[in-house]
Amino acid sequence: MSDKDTHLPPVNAMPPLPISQGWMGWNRTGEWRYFDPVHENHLPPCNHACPAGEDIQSFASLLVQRKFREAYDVIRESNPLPSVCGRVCNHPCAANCNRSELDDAVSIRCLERLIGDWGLKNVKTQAAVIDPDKGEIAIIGSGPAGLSAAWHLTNLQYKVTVFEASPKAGGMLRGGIPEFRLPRKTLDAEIHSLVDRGIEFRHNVRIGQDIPIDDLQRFRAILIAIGAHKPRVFDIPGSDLPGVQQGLDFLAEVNCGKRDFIEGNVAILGGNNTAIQCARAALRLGGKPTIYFRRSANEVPAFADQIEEARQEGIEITSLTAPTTIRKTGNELKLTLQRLTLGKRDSSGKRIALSIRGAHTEVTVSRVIVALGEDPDLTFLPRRIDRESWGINTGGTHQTNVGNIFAAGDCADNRRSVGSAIGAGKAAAQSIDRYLHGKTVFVESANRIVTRFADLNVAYFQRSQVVERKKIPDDRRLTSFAEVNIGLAEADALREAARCLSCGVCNSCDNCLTFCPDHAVTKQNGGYKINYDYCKGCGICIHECPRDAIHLRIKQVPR
Amino acid sequence: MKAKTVTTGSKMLLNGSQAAAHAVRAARAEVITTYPIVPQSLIAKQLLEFCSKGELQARYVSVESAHSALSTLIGASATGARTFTATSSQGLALMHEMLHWAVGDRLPIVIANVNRALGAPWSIWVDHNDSLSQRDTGWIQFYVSSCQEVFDTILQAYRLGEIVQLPVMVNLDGFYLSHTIEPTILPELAEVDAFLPPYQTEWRLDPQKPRSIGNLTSPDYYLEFRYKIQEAMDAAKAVTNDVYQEFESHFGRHYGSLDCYELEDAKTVFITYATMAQTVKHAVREMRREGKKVGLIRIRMFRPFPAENLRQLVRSSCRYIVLDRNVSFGAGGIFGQEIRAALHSQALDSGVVSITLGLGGRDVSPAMIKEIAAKYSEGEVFAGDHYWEGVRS
Amino acid sequence: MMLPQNSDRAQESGHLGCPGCGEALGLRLVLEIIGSNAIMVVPACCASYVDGIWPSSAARIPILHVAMGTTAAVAAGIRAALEVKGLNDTHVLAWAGGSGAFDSGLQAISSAAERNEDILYICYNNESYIDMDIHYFTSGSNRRGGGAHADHRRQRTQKNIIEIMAAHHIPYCATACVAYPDDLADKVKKALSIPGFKFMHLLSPCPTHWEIPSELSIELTRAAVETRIFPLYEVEDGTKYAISVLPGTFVPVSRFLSRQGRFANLSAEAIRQIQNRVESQWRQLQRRIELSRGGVSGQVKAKPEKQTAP
Repeated sequence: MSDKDTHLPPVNAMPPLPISQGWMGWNRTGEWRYFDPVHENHLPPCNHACPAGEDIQSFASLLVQRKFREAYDVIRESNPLPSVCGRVCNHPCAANCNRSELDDAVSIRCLERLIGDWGLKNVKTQAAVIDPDKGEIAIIGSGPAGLSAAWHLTNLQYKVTVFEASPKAGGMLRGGIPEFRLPRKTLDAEIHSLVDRGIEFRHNVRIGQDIPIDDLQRFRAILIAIGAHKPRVFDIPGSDLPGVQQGLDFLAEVNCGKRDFIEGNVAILGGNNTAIQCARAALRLGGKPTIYFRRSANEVPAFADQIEEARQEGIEITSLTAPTTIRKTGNELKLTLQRLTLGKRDSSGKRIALSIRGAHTEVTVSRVIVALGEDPDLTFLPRRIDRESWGINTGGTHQTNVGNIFAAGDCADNRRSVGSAIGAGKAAAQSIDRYLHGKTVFVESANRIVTRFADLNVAYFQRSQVVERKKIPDDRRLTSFAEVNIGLAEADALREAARCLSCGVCNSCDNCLTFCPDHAVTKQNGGYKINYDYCKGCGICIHECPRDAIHLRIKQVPR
Repeated sequence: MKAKTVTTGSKMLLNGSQAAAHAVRAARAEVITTYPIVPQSLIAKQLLEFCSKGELQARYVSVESAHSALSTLIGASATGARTFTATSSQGLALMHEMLHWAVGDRLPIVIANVNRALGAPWSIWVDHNDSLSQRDTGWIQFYVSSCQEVFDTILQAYRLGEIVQLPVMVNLDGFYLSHTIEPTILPELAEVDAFLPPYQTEWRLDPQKPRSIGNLTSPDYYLEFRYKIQEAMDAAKAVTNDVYQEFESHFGRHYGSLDCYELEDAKTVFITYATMAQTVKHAVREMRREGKKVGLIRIRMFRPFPAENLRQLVRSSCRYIVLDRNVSFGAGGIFGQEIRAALHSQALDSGVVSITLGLGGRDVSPAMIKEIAAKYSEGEVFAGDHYWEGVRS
Repeated sequence: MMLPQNSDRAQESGHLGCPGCGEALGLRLVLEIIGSNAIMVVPACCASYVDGIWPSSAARIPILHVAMGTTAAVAAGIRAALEVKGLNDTHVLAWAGGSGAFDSGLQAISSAAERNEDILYICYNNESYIDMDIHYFTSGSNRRGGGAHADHRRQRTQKNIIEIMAAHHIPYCATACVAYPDDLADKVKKALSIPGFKFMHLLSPCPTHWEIPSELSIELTRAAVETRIFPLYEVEDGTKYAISVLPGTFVPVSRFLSRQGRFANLSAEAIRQIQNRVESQWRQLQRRIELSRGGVSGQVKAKPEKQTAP
């Protein structure tokens, strides 16, 4: 009798026939495995692309479940202004949406807008609990960066005071964006929710003019978020004539309600968002705007949807044209334009625009609106603060070289979008908090792995069309400042939210559980648990996960 | 012939097939399968009639082959039903695979095998190579000689098989028994119920207690399971005697695994089985009248082989002539071998003559038996010698 | 030996299936639908090994392991015994590999189908034993087949088992596969709701024999459906045909073939022939569907768009 036989039952202890006595659970097939499958969420590309870092997958998923309040809270963890962003953000989230490789990107801004509007209607923002020991923070400027920083600092229990030079908060949101893109009542309501949160606003106070910046020393930290409002120099013969106006000034007037009728042709010089908005505003005031842009058509820097909407409204964009002189004849202005062509590439790879000898045209216009870009006005800043040609230098940390002075938004960043300003405000708030806790302020590196389209198992996704947002009818659109884009109806938004692929994020689809040949995956605490005693490491769960939320790890040392 | 209206507790004229069917009815078999083959067909026909008339509450499954006939019973028996099928010759050979399976799963299925020679060439007449070829499958085997014995042995088969958890094959000769009418006593069903309680087993397929039967079994256990089959076979010898006694107390008829005739002072004893034993008995009776000291041992039970019983009867001063209606090519008559092996330990096998005869339904007459007695009673024989009788020269 | 005694799951972990085993997966999916009041018959096939080794079993329901060709007959016997005992609520599941159903088991299946025995017979086909791969072969030589077994492998088109079963006019027969578990569940539920003989042909991947990485088990099974090599459909009463999962686009057969080691030696010509055969079979299936709709020419899908092999 071998050693083994002594451990086996004697013949009399066995049943008369080979009938089973129990289950196979004793057989730990996990020993067969070479690697471990692990449920681990990766970063959806939309989330990765969002400067504010909004958890888009999460709020889309909550929206599908009709959990509006939860969805609203999720957005506001990153961004206090969803109604604003749902309208004016250039949505890099959608540009990076994996769904666009399957059919159409999810219309994330429509979801954000719906949730934001729902919140404005249904949620009364509660005042934050402020910890008096944490001290006070001053924020200079109430544009998107300032508002965002104020919100996040308040959430971190700091007492925040925002200094705003204008009578009303909003910065570029108010002065630079016309009502047909962002209704005032939406902006006002969203800013008001920040007041509800306990943020103190001090209007009509221009730091450096009304109060010297050094008077803010009672604050533990100061955040400069003044935006970029100083127009770039435009100096050609005739540029100082009456009827030649800076775009931002024009928009500011229009946005304040000064809406005089404009007759005849209007020349808009420049291709940025301000230029497009000026053209669209001029159109609504009766003018016939044309945009003149020095570079080629596909180099127009304005957001694509802005350009598209302008074209829909019949606004012409003439590229490769540069103004040379403006003359006044009677009540009209004669604008001379030089035709350009693209030449060799410069060191940055861009082709240089070259004048075509003798190719001049002259147009007769009633007004010339100049929108060649803006820079921050840093004249009030103490000289000891480092700066670059485009603004304050923080090296991406949002902290200036003066310890307790921080900067965020257009004044410290050349990305120049509402979304990036909101993201910068959030990051600056975190930097300030770290600084005040004596920690190192650092540039947060994206260390999470982003799920790309190739990582998905698209067999589980049906093709579906995006739900397009609608526009108001042309007769109203072209003659009033009514908001052009209409938000999605709730049912459409829910349908659109359901199109979210939840890239990289487990949404409990059960594929891993369903397809496990070894019954090694079970549900636990709303997620899944892999029983490594039995998992044979076949990898089906990893491969069949539609959304790249299970990954392979080298097998751990024997348990 | 058309079956007569059945009344119980009475003596009836029945052929062997009808007797078998009546026994199955009396045993209240629950699942029956058959696939027709000559000369088994009469059993199938009679059972179908019982079932269709409601005289037997059984599920009758008309399968497409003998292989499936037994397979279906394996499913039914493993689910706890009392089961029956009848077959013959090629059918039994086709079942061979599943004969093993029934034993391995320890299922007390009862088969009536109507003995018939195996092809080729085609023969529909009796010999016993079909069932004796199955001797190592682990089935208990009976060979019977009369219609009454067909009936009685099938009842005993259920009783025995269900106790020792082994399947039982009751063999009756094709035509000589299956189609021969004899007066047969059919007991009251209540009396049969008293002798044979309903089949109950804890070893069955039961969703309430889900256990699997016949799983892959490693070398660590297979040997033990085979040992247990042998144990059951050994136990069957003792249990059989109990069953005989119970049977006698219920029905008044005595049976043994061996049946002896005129052994007292016999110098020459025939050992044989099945209907051939009836012929031999007749011849022995005649030879006794002629003053010849001959006798007969009829072997009723072939598996387990009643070796101990046989040894008690055998004397060294006597010549034993084994008549085998079968042959194991290259070795000899199968009963002859079995008997020699049983007697060898006591050195009694030297007086055993093994003769193969009557294959494929060839008639074995009393005159032939007398000639064989004359020819083989005297003279030297050697262990292992095997003779053929009836082969034309 | 101390063995786990309580199981509230259809199939316990610890079974002996290879990593990525489609049979074990398919059985679990089926058992989850059938529930615990059932008895299963398993002939010689992978399942008779995968379920476990005595004294253990992985299935929650009792199994009777039987010889290769006997599945349907044994299942009929179990049904008969359950009937005489009045246990008509208990399901009888026959679970057989390809060979047990296509080869020696076919006779018993035919008989049980003819008698319309109340059984659910599922042939899980992992194409490993009946060498369905040769079905796709015209050259008759693949990497392994080129050796000693080459001459003995079948070189023909696999019989259409569903057509065979439909010709028995059984109440329900269907194809299914583990890559479409909802479809499989629907079909099992439907089959269980119908008395009589039900037959399902379940494509069940085998990484070991298909010579694929185990994680591709499901993907390649899905590819079999998407390429129309293994259409998912059902036939009621032998006449009413319906497609249950209609793949979106026509995927070339190479998508199924080219990633499997067992097809490594298929020539471009062989693949082209297989493509033609698959398309022809698909058109036949469509015609049957049209016929069962009373001859109305309701196209299931427009003419397949030709795609070149990737």
